[in-house]
Amino acid sequence: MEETSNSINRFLITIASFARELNTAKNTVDISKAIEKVMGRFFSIESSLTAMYKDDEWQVIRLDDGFPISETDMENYYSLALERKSPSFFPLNDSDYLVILPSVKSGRLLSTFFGYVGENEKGFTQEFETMFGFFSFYSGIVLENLDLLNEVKDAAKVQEQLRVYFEMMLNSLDEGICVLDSSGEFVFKNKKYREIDPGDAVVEQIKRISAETFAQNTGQAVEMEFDGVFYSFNSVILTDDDQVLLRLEDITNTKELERMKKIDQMKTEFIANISHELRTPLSAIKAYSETINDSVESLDPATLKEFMGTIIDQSDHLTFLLDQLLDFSRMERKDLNLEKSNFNIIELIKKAKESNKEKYEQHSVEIELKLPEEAVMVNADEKRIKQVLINLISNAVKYSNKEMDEKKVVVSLETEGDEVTIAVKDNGLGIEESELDKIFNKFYRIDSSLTYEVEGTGLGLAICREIIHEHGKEITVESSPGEGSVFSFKLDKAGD
Amino acid sequence: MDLKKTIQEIETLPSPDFILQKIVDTANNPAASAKDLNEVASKDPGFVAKILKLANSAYYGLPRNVTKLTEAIMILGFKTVRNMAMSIFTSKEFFSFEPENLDMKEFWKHSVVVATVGELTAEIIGYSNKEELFMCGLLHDIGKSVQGVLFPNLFDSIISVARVKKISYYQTEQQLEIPTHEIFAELLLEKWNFPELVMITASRHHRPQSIQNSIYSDPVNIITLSTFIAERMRMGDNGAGRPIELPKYCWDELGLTPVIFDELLSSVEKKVEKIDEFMNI
Repeated sequence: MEETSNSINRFLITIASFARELNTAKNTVDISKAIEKVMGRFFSIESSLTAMYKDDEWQVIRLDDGFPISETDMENYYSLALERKSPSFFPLNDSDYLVILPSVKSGRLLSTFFGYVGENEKGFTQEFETMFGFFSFYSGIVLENLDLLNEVKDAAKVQEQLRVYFEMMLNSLDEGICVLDSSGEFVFKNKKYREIDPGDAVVEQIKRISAETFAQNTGQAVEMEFDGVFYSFNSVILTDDDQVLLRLEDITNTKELERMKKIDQMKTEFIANISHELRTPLSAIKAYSETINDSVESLDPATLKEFMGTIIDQSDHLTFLLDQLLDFSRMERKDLNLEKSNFNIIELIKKAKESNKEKYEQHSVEIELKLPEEAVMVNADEKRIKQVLINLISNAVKYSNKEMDEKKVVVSLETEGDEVTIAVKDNGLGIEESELDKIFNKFYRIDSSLTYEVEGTGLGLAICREIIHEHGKEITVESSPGEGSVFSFKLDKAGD
Repeated sequence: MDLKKTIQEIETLPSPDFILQKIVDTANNPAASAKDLNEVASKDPGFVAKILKLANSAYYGLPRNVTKLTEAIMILGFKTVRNMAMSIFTSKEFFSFEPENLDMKEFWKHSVVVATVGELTAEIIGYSNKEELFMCGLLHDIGKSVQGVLFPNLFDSIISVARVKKISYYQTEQQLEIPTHEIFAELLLEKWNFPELVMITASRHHRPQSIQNSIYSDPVNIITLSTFIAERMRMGDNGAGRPIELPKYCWDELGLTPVIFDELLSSVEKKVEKIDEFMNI
C-alpha cells in the first residue's frame, strides 16, 4: 500500500514536471525535448528521433547524430506507432530498447518520439506504462493546440503582410487618402495625407463631405479653395465596413496651370486684338495721307482740313492705345509710380466726359453728370484717375445697348467722411454674373470672339483696377444683363 | 429462481487461475515489473504460448515476432497483455457452453467487438485510459454467460422471448422479472475481486444514467455506446431480439458530434476486420 502511495506521488510529480516543460513549448521540437528530458529521468536515452505525421507522411523533425536505427528499419516502428497509438518499449536486443512515445489527439497521431535506450537497469514497470500513456495523451493535446495557435498566428501574419502591402501602395500614391467611419472619426490616413497635414478648415470639409457621402449613399466630388490652395475631394463608400474613403489632392498647381493656359490664350487673342486695334488707326492715317499726297493740288482746303483732322484723331487714338500698352507693361512690372496731388475731382470728371465727346455722340449716348456744384478736392494721381474715368465712361458708352431708345450714362459723386465715391452707371448691355469676376482680368473681353464689334485692347479695366488698387482702394461693379452696370470706386479727400 | 440460489451457484463457477489473477493484479500495480510477471507465467507455458500467439496476430500488427512474455509486455503494455490473458480465459470458461438458440462464436464475437470498439472510442474521444475499456467491453456481458452456464434453460428462454417479442435481452429479463445479467456480472466479478471499473461497466451498461456524476460515468457511457455500435453494425450476436437504442444522455455526456461519430465508425470498420484473430483462441 505504501508502495502504491509512493508510486502515485511519483506519478504526480513527474506529470507536474512534464506539464511544466510543455508549458513553455513553442513547437514540436520543444515537445520532443520535453519528452526526452522527463523520460530521461527514468531511462538513459542515448539518442532520439522525432517525426511528425501529417497527410499520411512521416517527416523527421529532430534527429540526433548516432541514432542507430536506419531509415528503412524505422518504417516498422512508424507503422507500430501508427497502429497502436500507445507508448511502447521495443526490445532491440538483450540490452537495448527503442522507446516509442506517440503524441495522439482524438485518435489522430500527430508526432512520435523515438528514444534509443541503452541498458535498462531499472526494469520496466507498470508505472512507466501509465505515466507514458499520459505523456502520449497530454503531449497530443498540447501539440494540437500549438498547431492551432500557429495556424492563427500564420493567418494573422498573412493579414499583417497584406495590411503592410496595401498601406505601402496607399502610401506610394500622390494623393492624400483618409478613411472615416460613420461617426466622422479618422480610421486611416496615408503618408501623403499626413504630409499635406490639412488645416482645421480642410478637415472640417472632409468630415462634411464624408457625412454627405453617408447621407446620399454615394461618392462625392468637390473642389475647394483654401487661402489660395485648391483641393479636390473625392469620396467613395467602403461598403463592407461602413466607412468612407476620401481622396484629397492639392490641385493648386493644376489650377495655376489652367490659369496660365488661359492667360496664354488671352495673350494670343490680345495680340490679334491689338494688331487689329493698331492697324485701324494706322490704315486710316495711311489712306488719308496717301490721298493727300496723291492729290494735294486738287483738294479744296475744307476737305484737306477734314482729312488732316482725321489723321490727327487717329494718331491720338494710336497714341492712346500705345499709352495703354505702356501702362500695362509698367503695371506688369509693378512700376506704376503714382504722382499724387490735390485737385478738384469735379473738374476732372468734366474733362473725362469731354474727352469721350466724340465717342458718345457717335453712339448717341447721353452722359449725365450728377455732381456737387462746389469743388471737391481729392488727393490722388490726377493723370491716372483721369485715365480711369475716361476708361469707365468709354466702356459705358461702348457697351451701350443699341436697341435702347434712351442710352444714358450717369457719372455721380458722393461724399462720405474722408472719402468720395465716384460711380459710372449705364443702362447698357450689362454683364452676366459669371463674367463679373473676370472682367478685371488682363486681356479679358466679354466678347472674345474676335468679331471686333466692340473696339478695345481688353486692358482698360485691368489698368483701372491696378490704378485704383495702387491708391489703396478697390473698384467694384454691380451689374445685371439687360439692365446695365455700375462701376464705382472711392478716393481719399484731400487733407486740410 | 431467487438471488440466494444464484449466489450459491456462482460459487461453483471457475475463478481465474493463479497466473491470470497475477496478470490482472500486475496491470493495476505500479511497482509490478515485466520480469516478475515473466517468472509467474513461466509456470504455465501453454497459457503463455496462447498469449504470444495473440500478441503476434494481425490484431496488434507488430513489426516482428514476439517470443517472450516480457517482450510482449514491454511492447504492448501490461494492460494489453492482461486483456489478452483475460480473453483467453473467458473464451475458454464462459463462451464454450452450448445454448440452443445462440451461436456462441457470434456471442464471443460480440464481446470482442464491444471490447475493441470501447478501446477505439476511448482513443477517439480522448479518454486516456483506453486499454481498460477493452477489458470492460470484453466482460460487459459476462453475466449472460453466467446465466447460460448455471441456468441453461433460463438463458435459452430469455433469448427465445427476446427474439419472438423483438425486444432486447435486458428488456426481456425485466419483463420476466428475473435477476438481470447485470446482477449476475456484478456477483461474479465481485467474487473474483476484479477492479471496480470492470464490475461497474458490466453491471450498469444498460443503465448508464444510474451512474451519472461518478468517476465511472465515462467508461459506462463508452461501453453503452460500444454495445449500441456492435448491435447496429450487426457484428456478433448477444441474444437480443432488437438492438438497443442509444440514450441521448450517453451521446451528450461523451461530447459526441456527427463528425466524431463518423470518424469512430470508420475506425471501427477497419479494426474489426482484424478481430478474427480472437475467434479461435
